[in-house]
Amino acid sequence: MPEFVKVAKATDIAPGQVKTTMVNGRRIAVCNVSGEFYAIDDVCTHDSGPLGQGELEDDEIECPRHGARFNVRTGAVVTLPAVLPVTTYPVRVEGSDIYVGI
Amino acid sequence: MSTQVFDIDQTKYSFRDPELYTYKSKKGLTRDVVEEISHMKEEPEWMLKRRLKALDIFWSKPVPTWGGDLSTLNFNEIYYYIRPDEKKSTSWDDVPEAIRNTYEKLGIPEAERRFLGGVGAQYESEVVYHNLQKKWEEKGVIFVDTDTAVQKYPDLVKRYFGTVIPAADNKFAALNTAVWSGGSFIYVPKGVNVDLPLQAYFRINAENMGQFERTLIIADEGASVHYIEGCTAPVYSTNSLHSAVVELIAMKGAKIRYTTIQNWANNIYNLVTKRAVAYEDAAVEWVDGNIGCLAEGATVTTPQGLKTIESVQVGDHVLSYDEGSGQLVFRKVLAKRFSGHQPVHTVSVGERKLRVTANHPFYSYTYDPDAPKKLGRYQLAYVRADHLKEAIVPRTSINYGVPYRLRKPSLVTEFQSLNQYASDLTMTRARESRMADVRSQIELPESVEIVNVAVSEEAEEVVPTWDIEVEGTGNFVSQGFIVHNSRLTMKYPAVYLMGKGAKGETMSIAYASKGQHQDAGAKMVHVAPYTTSTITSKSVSKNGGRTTYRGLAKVVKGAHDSKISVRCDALILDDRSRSDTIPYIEIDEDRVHMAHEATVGKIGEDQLFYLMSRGLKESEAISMIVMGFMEPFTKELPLEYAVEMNRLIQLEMEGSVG
Repeated sequence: MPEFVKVAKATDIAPGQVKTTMVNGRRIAVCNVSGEFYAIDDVCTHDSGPLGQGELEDDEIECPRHGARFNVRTGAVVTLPAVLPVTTYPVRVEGSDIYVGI
Repeated sequence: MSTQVFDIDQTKYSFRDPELYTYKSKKGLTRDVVEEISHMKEEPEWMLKRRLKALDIFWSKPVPTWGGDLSTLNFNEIYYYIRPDEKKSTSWDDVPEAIRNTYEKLGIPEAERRFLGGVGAQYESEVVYHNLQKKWEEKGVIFVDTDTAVQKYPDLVKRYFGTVIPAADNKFAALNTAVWSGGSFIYVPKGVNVDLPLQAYFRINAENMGQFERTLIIADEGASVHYIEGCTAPVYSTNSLHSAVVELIAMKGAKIRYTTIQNWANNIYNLVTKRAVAYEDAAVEWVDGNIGCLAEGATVTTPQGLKTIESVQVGDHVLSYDEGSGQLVFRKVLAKRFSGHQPVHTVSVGERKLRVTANHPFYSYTYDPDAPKKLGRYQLAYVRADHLKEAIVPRTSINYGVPYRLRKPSLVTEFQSLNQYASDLTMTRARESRMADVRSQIELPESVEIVNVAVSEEAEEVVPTWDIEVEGTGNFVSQGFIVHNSRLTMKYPAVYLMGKGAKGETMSIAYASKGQHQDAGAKMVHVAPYTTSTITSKSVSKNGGRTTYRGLAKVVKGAHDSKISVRCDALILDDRSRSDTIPYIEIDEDRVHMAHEATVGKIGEDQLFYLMSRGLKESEAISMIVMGFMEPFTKELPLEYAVEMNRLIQLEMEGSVG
């Protein structure tokens, strides 16, 4: 069972916004897709770009470094140059708090 | 060693038309220019958004410093958008006369009627003509310019545009995404086999013009398509920029072959990003341009008998000459190209005649008066038709389609009088003694002999011309002459092998002389298991030139049983020159077959042995072979052709472009 760690308050991340945070030594990006929260690695699988600083458009996030795009729900690559999916983490919202399972 | 390089008469093909445009943007790149382009094209909002975003990315990225020298490239001195005409046409009659004449000179309407499945013609920023044969249209094939595709097929464009090469990929991809105009959009539906090539011609006419076409080719499951792009520009005193983005998507079992015939002037910066994705069992091939061509009607010899060059099919076998063994062999035809209408010379010996373009290389020898005599001033090499004096022809009595009636087969060795064989054959005493010299220094294999040839002046009228590419030997026998075929460069085409069993193949040839740095290579990314890739890179450096092979072969976790074959042949002709092979290899999987082969100058062991047995040092022998081997390239390849600059060489557009 993954250990769930509180990462943010739901009100901290507006829809279409991303918040990056450190959880157990890992850089995680928490994305708000129209009120639903998804967590992925904050590291692009192509060239280790800071994925969380990229633009979130619907459920796709774009790495600011070379433009690779990932689906934040599944982690799947949508656009090259990345070819490997990004790791996703389960998210729970309890009350006004967001928990990420590591 | 002979390092003779013939000057290329730029004026011949560097015609330019008067600049009569319906719209020409201001010089330089601003937000306004980008908005204006989008506005004039009446684009949907989403495309404008993409353009503006890409513009920001372009500004934020530094000019790359890892490749060739780009310091003289000034982005503010370039016209980013020039619209030559109000509308696109599907009939040549509707294309403005001046522009139509340009393409008539290039022989494109004719080529279209005769052998192409579809043609696009881009002049400056806009496509002026685009047409696809009805038969393909009915099968659902889409072949339009990319601007039209945005209007008519927004869903397809939205789905694939920029998915292979996003704007942020590199500075020039961002520039292209911001100001792109024209290019081809191809969609081949499931299982449709477009067996005639689709071709597009890109022409820059204006000075300081930037051409930014955007090409997107999608071959759906089991489909196949061959696309040929040809580009030309006249020479101006200031630089123009060509920065295209080409995205290929080969779905399951699909096949895409992309041929480039680059024909740019030497002051064109050619900064192109080309990338393909190949899904399960798909195959993508990047092929490059060519040099000389034969007039229609010239025959080649196949095991089944004679065939005219235009009727040869890819996969046929034709008679060829193996320089290593000195034997005549049958080799497979890898490609065939129509090369437009060009004026030709007639090369003849006795009754045997062959009509070729001036630059077509014949197997012969060159003479270097400055070479030390003991090394031999003659060497076997390929010589362009208009400089040809003697040719080396097969001695066999195979039927070449023309009577082989030299009254004496051994014309040279039993040379007796000046006009013994042909009235137009003239030979001076000096030549006579030179030939004696040849005999003493070049020993030809039994299978061939040297004969005198007469080369006519260039004919006034133009005729259809063709070229084929032959596996291995790179030459073929036509009408009893050994002539070379040719291949030129591609830069860094990439193939992402995304599905099981996908295949990718690239080839590049680089040549660098004084002050040049040729940087070429390829990129293969294996994402799925059982994928295969082949990278072939050949380079020659001399007079302080430098060549670099820069290639990436990457196998990600999970792509087990992948096969990669990288072959780099580098030839360094003197101790001031340099060649680097920079293979980046990243393999994250255990079961992978990876072969990296790098050689320096090892061509034909028996040739080496032969030359060394004549008293040459190994290095001298190597150079001699190399020069012979690369002669068509040294002659035809632009010496100023630094990594990002492609010179307008004498190519298939020659003559038509003058």
